Amino acid sequence: MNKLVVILLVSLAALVIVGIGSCSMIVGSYNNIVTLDESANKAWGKVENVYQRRFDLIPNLMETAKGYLTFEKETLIAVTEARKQVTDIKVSSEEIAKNPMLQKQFLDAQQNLGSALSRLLVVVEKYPDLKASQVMIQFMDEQAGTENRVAVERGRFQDTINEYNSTIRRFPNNIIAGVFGFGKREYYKAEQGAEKAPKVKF
Amino acid sequence: MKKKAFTLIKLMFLAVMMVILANTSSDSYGSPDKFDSKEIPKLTRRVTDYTNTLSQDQVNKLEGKLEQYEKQTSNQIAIVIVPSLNGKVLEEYSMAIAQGNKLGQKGKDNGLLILLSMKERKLRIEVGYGLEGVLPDGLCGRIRDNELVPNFKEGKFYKGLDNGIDKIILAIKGEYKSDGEIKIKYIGYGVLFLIWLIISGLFSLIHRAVGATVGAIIAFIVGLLFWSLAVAIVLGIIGFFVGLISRDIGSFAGDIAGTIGDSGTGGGFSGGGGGFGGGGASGSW
Repeated sequence: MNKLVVILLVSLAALVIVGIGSCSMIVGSYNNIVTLDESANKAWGKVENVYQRRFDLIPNLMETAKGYLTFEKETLIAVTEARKQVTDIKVSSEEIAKNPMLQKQFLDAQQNLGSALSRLLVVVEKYPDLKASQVMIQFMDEQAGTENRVAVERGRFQDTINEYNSTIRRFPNNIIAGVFGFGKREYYKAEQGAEKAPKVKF
Repeated sequence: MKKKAFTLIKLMFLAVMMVILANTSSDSYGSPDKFDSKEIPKLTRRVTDYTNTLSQDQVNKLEGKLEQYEKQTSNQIAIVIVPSLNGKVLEEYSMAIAQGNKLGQKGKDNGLLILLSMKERKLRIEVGYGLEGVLPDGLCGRIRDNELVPNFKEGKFYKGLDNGIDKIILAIKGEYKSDGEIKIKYIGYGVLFLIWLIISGLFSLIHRAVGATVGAIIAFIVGLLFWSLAVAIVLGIIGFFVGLISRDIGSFAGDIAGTIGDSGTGGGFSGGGGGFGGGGASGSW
């Protein structure tokens, strides 16, 4: 075969290969960034789910406690008000996931509710019948479980954000991220120890 | 001259593929280990006692029960007994072991870990995402209070664990059934490969290059359909080279498919890729 033709063919093949390779890389990189971005949103969704678990147990708890705690109205009202504060947050999960200030708002409201519930459990101590009720036993275990779950899911949320951030910093992802408008994401950093709901000692 | 050009093209393909593959990331499930990997035991058995609290016979009995249970239901339950937490937080350590070993099947998240730390006399039942419905924290707490703690207080560790597992199994009953799903997946891939091999082999009867090209095209299309462009290109290349020798592979393909189908069961124990969300119950005795 003619030498020139061969050279031309090889060059063409090379261009095509590099072209396919580059496109593939750009597509891969972009998709990776999008996936990580979405993972972070999903991870925050899990944090909200975990808090929702606790929230959903409260009506039953209140119903059971009401009958016994006729002289503890304040404690019950505190829980009801803290609950309202939580439901007042009407921002979408995705928006909160992207905004550390909204995260703080959300977490503070949940923390508040947690404290009110803890105080309720302290009061319940004075009423052995109530304390021994199925609802109460289950709730106390769920409260402890919620704290653990929150720690786990918040940790994973922060990890996915960190992974996203370090990915978009790397070359050539940084260029692609810039072109498509993906910026660094932040999460709300609580002060040391503020994350833990007050441990109630009986 | 033609041969050199061909080789050059092959090398360029490889070089570009390596760059692409270097950029693909694997998906992770859960936070990276906070601890030195040495401290998180990589479990090779379902019952791991680092403290000789259980006799070998007791360990074997529990191991057998859990292995049988996994075969029937695909739920993975593991027991770990450590001498001390060495200052670690119980829940964090338990999560690290459970998540690190990925107990439970991927997608089902049906794993469970019972961790005992002898020095601190602490225990935890760590429940995978998928079992949280049938084993809510409240129920785990009851199992802890009724089966584990009373027996542990009397030093009856085997009895406590055995009874506890029975109660856990009872609670999960019916949640997941083994539908042979795992085996079917492997056999499926084996058959797919076999069919591909036959098609490529037939075409290579005409000429090796023809078989190779057809093989490459089919592999490329399959890759594109089920995965991504990058995978498709890789499969295409692999398909090309395997296609070249497909004429020679012949009956070996049948054996390969058969082996792949068998490898789902037996052998050593390892986690199935399941995830944990922090549910369960902690306690002490």
